[in-house]
Amino acid sequence: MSAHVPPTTDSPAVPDLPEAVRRVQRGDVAAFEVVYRANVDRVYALCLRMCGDSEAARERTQDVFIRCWERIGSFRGESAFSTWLHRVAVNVVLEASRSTKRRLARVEPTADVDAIGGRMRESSPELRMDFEAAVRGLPPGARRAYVLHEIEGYKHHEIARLTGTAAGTVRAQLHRARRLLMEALS
Amino acid sequence: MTDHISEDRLQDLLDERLSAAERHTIEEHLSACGACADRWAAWVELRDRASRAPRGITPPADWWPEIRAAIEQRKIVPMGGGGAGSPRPWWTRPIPAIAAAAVLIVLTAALTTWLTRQSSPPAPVTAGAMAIQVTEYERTVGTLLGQFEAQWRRLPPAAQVEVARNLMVVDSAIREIRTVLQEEPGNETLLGVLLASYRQKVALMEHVTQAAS
Repeated sequence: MSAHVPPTTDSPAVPDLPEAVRRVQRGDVAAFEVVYRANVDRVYALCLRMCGDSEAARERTQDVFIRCWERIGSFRGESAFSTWLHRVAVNVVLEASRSTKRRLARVEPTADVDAIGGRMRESSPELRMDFEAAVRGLPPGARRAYVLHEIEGYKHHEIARLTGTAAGTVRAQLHRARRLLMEALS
Repeated sequence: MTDHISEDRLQDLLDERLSAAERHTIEEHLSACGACADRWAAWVELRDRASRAPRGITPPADWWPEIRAAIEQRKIVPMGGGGAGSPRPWWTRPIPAIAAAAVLIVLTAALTTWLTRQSSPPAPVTAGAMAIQVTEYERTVGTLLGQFEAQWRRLPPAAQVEVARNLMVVDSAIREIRTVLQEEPGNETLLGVLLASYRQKVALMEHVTQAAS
């Protein structure tokens, strides 16, 4: 087996995304830029909504693409690359949130529907009209359930499996998220 | 109308979690109760807002340079195995814990192979090039896998166990080395040992494939 010297920025233009993915699997950094640019908006949207703040979303987005680079050898083409990447992104965000949750276990406030809804309205009246901001203002568990179900289309049992919680808990978090949003947006 | 529909029931309706009979009852109520119909319309509007949310949001800055720098500075290389959705190979399933001692043997053997190769005049090989060779080996393993598994199933049971055990040991060694490499990604000696381990893995797979055919 001959040694393969990885091309860098001098690689020719990548004709299409599947070919770019194959080239990334061979260590082509330039092809990875193509993959990055084709997917970053979708990954960032997921991270921003799931994390609730832009700085964490920036970190997670970068983590997602570094993880993608590390693991792209395991992508076998059995699903669309974007589906695979989306799953990587969800896992990265959830792993980070579990880690944060462990650190803040005794600090994270318990969410109270009335208090949070009221706080969102009082602190920033314009949030009533801004759906994205209202989603970001949800408490973490409710926000993850809401984003994964309502925006990303995951089913309750899939979210339960991803987050390691009971399906009933996911449903309760989802209901709570909707109630809070309803208050914040009304 | 005093017996309004609860919020949870409306959300269950939204999630299509109700039986046909339950749904029918609620829909009848909604057609007769303006207050509940208004609340229902609000839930539907909220759901629609979520479905209209854009799939993508453009980041406020271009983060590619940072990502590229992270990849290149840490000399991270794409490697297969262990990623999202990739099933563990059958030989990594639990087999009696001989691995700890055997990993050491394999590491020693791989290191010996590596050092032996180093004693002859070697062509200069960079960590990056070695990392790419690792990727090539991963690809070879992937290519061999289907045929190898088919041939492995034809082996006598005792041979199957022995081959599985050997592969498990090599894979354990590879995992161990990768773990250390995460801390020292530019360590060329470790990369050399990793390459030697992959050589052993590929040689074993090829041997089984050819011997059984």
